[in-house]
Amino acid sequence: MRKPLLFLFLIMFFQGYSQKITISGYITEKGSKELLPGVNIYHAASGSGTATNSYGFYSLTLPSSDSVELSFSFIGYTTQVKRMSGKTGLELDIELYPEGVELEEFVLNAEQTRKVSEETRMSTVDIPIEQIKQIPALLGEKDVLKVIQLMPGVQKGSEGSSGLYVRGGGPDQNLIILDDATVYNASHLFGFFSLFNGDALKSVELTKGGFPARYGGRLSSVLEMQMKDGNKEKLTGEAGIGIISSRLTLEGPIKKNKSSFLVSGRRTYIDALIYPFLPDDEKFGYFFYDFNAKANFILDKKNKLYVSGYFGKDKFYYRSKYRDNTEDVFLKWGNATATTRWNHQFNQKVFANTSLIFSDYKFVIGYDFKDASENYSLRYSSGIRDFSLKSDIDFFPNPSHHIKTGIITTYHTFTPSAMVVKSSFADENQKSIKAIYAWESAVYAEDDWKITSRLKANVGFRLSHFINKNKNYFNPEPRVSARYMIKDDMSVKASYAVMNQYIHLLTNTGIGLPTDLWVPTTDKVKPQHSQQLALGLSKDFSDKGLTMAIEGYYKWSENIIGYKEGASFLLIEADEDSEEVKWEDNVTPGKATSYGAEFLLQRKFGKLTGWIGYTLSWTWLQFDSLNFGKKFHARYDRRHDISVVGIYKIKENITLSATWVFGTGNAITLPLAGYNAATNVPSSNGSSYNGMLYSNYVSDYGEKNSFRMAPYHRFDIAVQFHKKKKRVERTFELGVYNSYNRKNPFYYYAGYDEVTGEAELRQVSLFPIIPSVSWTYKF
Amino acid sequence: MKNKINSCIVVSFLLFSCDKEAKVKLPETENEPVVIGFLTPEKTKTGINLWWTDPLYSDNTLDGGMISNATVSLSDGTSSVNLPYDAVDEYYWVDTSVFVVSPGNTYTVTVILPDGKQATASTLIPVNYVSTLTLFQQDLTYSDSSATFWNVQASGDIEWTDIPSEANYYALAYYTLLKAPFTGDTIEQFHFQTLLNDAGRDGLPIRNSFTTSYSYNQGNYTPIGTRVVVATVNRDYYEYHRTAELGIYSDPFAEPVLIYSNVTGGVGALCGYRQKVFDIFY
Repeated sequence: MRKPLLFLFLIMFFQGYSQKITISGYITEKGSKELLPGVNIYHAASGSGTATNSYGFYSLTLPSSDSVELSFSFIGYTTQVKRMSGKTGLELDIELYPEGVELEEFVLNAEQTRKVSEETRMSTVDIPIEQIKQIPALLGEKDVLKVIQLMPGVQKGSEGSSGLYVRGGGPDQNLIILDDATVYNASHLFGFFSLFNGDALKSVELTKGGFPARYGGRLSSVLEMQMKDGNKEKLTGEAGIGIISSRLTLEGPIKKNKSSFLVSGRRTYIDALIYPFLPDDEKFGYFFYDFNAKANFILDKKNKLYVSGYFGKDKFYYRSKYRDNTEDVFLKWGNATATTRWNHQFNQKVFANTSLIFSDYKFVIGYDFKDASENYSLRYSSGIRDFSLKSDIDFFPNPSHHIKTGIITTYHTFTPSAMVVKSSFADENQKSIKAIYAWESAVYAEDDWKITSRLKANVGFRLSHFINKNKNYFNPEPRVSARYMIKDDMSVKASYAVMNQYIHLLTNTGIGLPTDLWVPTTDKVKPQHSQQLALGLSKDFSDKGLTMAIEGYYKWSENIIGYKEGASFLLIEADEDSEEVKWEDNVTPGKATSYGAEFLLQRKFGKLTGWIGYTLSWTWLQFDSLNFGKKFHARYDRRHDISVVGIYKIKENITLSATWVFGTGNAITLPLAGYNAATNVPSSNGSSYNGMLYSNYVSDYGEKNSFRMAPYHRFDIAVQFHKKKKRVERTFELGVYNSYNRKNPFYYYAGYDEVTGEAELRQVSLFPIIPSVSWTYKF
Repeated sequence: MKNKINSCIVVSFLLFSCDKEAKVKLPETENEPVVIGFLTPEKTKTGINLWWTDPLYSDNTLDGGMISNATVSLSDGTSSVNLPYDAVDEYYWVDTSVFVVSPGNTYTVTVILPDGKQATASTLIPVNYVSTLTLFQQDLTYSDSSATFWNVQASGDIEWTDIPSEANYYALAYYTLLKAPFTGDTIEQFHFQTLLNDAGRDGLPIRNSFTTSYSYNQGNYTPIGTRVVVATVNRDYYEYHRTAELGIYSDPFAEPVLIYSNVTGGVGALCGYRQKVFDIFY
């Protein structure tokens, strides 16, 4: 056993002892000095390449030669080719030009550009922010998560929902990260809009399988977003006006080329519009807002500091006044995150980042009553608050290895149920706040290893730890993904990942209400655990700008939790005075199995861009305490899921975009009949044929999730008119959501025909055809 | 307050929504027979209740009505008996002097409906039952709200030893024992029923706490003790009662409860149990 290990070690490190040079540096956007993550750097002569990390840093070690030619390419930017002496290493910072010109004006050379087939990673989706802004959206509100939903393997929950269901996993199984900070509830307006403002974002990447070891803590996916750093050269901005909200983003230098800031805000105004039409004694409304801010400072050549934050809130309220009585009911929820990051470059081959992270999510239900004799106030809240410390190191020892290692620890504070009651009657005052404290930590190492010219692997290991009270969990999480080049433009890929999740979301509405509760792993509730195996084939059609990926996956999970039959979040409230945390008694552990195949044909260049995605999938659940132990389909088990996205530049100043989606209907539990399920009470009366018989009128549902809703499909279209002047750019957009007015089901209920009075199943649909108009101004 | 919050959420959806008949293929929604029976050797009658379900998406005169014209038979595997319909009490029954329910036997009820369709269910009568019960304490609190109107609250812990090496399910019913003022006869006033199982405590002591409260006028029936009926029930009984009691909960956000059934060709359950009555006098 020792000999092969020694051999591997020798291969890894003696590869580096021939004559090598190292070229490293940062890649930024020309005109703003915005650091660009994910830029491909390619050395065609040796076939070596790398990509910039999250902070725009790259390092590439090459055999020394008379001259070296490197290409730097990134979607949305003009590819640059640099030729330099190959005798000595150097630090080379590059500025890439945004596409100020037509895409086809520069030729993407297959020799110069890294291909999807060459990448080790699989099951990964990255979508340029500019493309997100061109895809039609509900009410013109551009939404990162809804664009992600259009990719194969990712499904939405229900009509309009921004929740993500990745490869059969639930919405709680997605790790959503904004500048290193976990975002616990990514929804505005009960899930219809996500809280990520595209104007403030620099990059969006979704990993749905083959997870590198640096990611952990969730079973199904990692959605990593980075906020823009802010323009270091000049003050710029972007303002947008839509039907339901407006937004404004400003960015500019604090000290030119040394430091910069970005602020971005958005607010809806439905409440303000309807306010004048409501009676004076009864007011209700809804609004949300969010605010992003970031500042970054180049301390010196080797040190950078970033401070960023997000703050957002939703509020639904109802106020009434009758004589001396006033009544105020509200439901509000919001996230707040803050991140401080310090980049340090030790040398040309070692880059480190250390982050201090804060994240908070809270929802509050409030009720205030006031009259001449009484003041009564009730606040019921639930939330989670994290403080994290994280340190990551990128090490580029030689051309064959890119090693990442790091450590993270998080202090969680859960308050699944907190109640404060204040009353003018002193004996009614109550305070019941039961917080649960837990530590979650992990250490990891991974190596992106070029084993041969055709075989490359990302091999990693993560050790995760969770402690709640005195209960410790340690879990090893091996990760591996590999690709083998069959041809120059075609590869087969495979991955295997073990994941553990120590926090759980209690949800039974399935529509992403803020009332869903985050709870920790305890001695009774075990960590969720999954293993995922994926196999894939990738092919580049470089001459046409097309990439194709086919993937199959099999994922099995244990200890996923669900509410017991009859349980809901309202029951959690009923236990406010108990000594124990009673939510544990309302949940039951189960297993999930998901498998399927995904197909993606994507075009990122040219006049016509977009993709065709298709997913064929199955998701089964099995809980000993649900459905009498028999396995059943998950609510979001979707046999077929199709999305077609097209963006066509008709002219320099006109862009036409359209999407069509189709999905098999959700599997739901539908009441079919009612009946009296009379029960018996044992009694001493021996002459009765039974004890006492009690009538119980119940619903007959058949088996759990045995009924399929009607299929979901929709066609959206939008046209954007761009007008560019010397310093400003205006975009006017007309859009139509659900253009053929498909009445997609949101939920069903047993009702009656209004004319005949006959009993029937009725369907409620949310969004008919909805036109929208929006206007954006960039300066 | 909860209703207002729920209403706010629902109203906000309705603001956008449109409502129409669902154009989807519905499952069969014919009336099905509901077959319910609780068999025990400790009773002198053995009976079966029979009525129709009420399908939600069709109108039918049968909905929810009693089934009085079916043929109902009960078999223990070697002999069988027809249960005649009792039009007064509206159920099918037979005296145990005609057909005995014995511990350890499996009984099958067969229902033949007027249209020839058939529903069947089988259940096993438990052999063992709880024969001894330990009372740890019974605390009594008397209070008076007037010179003649009294209230007594009784609370305590009872314990018995679980029957080892088998999965056991229990149903405990608590009553207040009342004594008639002139005749001295006793009657029972029901309070609540508790379902328990022995998961994780096979063969070990099982303890259960109770609190009962009874208000009475002096000179009328007087509370004299607590009656506990400890039933050793089979899994059919336990699962049917657990789910049926959960199924009537009306929280709109609650997970749907699937009602347990061991009936083929219908819904409901045929259940078996043994029981013993314990009186704990004040």
